Amino acid sequence: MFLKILLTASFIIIFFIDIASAKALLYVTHESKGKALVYDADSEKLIKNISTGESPFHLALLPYKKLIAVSHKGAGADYLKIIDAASGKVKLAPSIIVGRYKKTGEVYLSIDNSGKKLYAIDSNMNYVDIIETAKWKLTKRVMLGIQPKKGVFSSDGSTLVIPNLNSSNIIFLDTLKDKISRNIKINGQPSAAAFSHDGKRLFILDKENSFLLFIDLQSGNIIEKAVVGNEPVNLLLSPDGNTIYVANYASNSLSVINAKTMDVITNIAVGIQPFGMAVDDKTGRLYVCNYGEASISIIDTKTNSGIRKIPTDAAPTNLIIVRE
Amino acid sequence: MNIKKTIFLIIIAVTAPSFAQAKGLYVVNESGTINFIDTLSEIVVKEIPSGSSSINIAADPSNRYIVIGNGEENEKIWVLDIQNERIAAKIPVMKGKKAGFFFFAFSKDSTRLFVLNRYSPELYVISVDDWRLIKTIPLNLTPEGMAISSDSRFLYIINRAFPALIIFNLDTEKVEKSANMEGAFSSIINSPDGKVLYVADKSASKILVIDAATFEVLKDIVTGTEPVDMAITKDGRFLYASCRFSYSLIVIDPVEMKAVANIPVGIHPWGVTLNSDGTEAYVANYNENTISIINLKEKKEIYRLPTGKFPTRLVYVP
Repeated sequence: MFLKILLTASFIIIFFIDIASAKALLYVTHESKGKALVYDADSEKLIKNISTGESPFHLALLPYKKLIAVSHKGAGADYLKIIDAASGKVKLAPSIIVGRYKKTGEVYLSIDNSGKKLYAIDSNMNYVDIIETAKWKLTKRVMLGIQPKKGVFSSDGSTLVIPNLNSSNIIFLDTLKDKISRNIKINGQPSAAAFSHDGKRLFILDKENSFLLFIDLQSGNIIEKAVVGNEPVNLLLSPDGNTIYVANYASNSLSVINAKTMDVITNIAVGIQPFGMAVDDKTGRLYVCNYGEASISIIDTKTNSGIRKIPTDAAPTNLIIVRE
Repeated sequence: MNIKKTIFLIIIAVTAPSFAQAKGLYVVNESGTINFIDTLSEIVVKEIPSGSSSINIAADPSNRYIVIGNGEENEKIWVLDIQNERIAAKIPVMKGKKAGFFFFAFSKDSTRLFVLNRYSPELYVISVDDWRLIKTIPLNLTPEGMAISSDSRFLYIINRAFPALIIFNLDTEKVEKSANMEGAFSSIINSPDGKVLYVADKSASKILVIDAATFEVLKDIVTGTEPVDMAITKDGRFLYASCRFSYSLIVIDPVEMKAVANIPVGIHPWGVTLNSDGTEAYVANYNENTISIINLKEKKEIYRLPTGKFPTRLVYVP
């Protein structure tokens, strides 16, 4: 009898621990502060402060290993920190290669579907480092266009698409051979990319001309475009694939666009210089880093309206959501 | 012959600048001045006092006068004689210190000026001949903007306290129609053919396209954050909306009823106006003390000029 109670009690305890730990954490880089802050997404309370090295920029999650890679300015070979998602401790600072030009930490990180390869796109050096995550060793470096931005994978993971801001082209990298397989030129400054859910089309932001372009992948032609705000720098496709959120860096706003019809649905005012975005597909909440005002805007994607702003430290840059 | 020709050229050279002076852009600054800008030579020619907290400006259809609304104690409407470059009249409307947040509409024959103020429930009718206030009509509205029908028989007024679109009949001097609407309106303009009204809703960041006869909302067009002023080409082919908090001018195709371009401008743009052939737009950047000059064919800002403090609205005199 006593044993039974003990067992039940311990089950209940385990059960509750499970629920308590199934929370969402926001990891936010602060470029000017040399750290990443971790927030509990439910309580919106700051729970951790991770020292990352100078000018932390982008983050990527290795879901199976529960590791987070953070790019930063670093020194020479060291521009990545590998953080344990659960403890928030820096686990590893792998040395990738020496002689890197240390201007900023603007390196965009994309992890392939298998979690075995990390693509680190260096926006200052105009190349992508392909890093094997088992040993954190560089396997290949591929030269890109001028000022490449964040790369996005096709749903089958066979292609990484990289917009190159100042050479006005979009590079397709075949991830099997890690070779450039295609190059699409546009008239403008491609600043961000996303695949449509059916994989047949590509959304590209044109920073120079304030457009969201809709490109047919078979022909490579622009088939539709939607007007967005000043200096669109980042875009995010909703988890259902129906809506696109565009961060307009110099208009302090988001443009919300129907991904099927390309109609502009609404304009949402956020904080100063919106940049990094992430959506929590469980709650439908969209988090936006307001780089110029030390806050994070929370948007309800069900109603497409702002909920509130969380104050944070200066220069929130990029963020990811990690569910424990 | 050669001497004659030379003399003729000299005469042209001497007289041309003085003719050119009247033609150009007038910008009103809330700090109490107007700037005259020569858009051909791209220079700010002069700054003229316009009364304290002057906010709105309009040119009469004959382009001989410019009216300015300010916040002076009594004489809140000043009239600038363009050719002679002097204040030709000061018209007393409204008592007491209030911001010069006026709205102006001229009758097409240039005989009447209709005036509303954001902080006054009355409509003022001014005779253009002698710049005299000839009638004060109580409306009990909180106006946010006004447009006049092409036959000069109706005023379209947008209201703040209860958001509504109102038609005021100038013949009967009565409200002809009032439609309650949702939103916080900032500006109204009509299409050149008079069939369509465009109303900017600053809270929703949208422009409502409204059938002027039925008041039916045909479409709403998403703009940047807080559209504040609009301008339309004479042929009605393009509509422009300045958006205060997204620092942009949105180009709208009224046929397709959608935005076709976004043009970045300065900080907190307010008034927008076009030159006579619709090739350039001018935007007052309120918190930057500049105006943006935009090439509408390229859809790009081409230069920026300094103004007085807090430029609000502007008018182009051809």
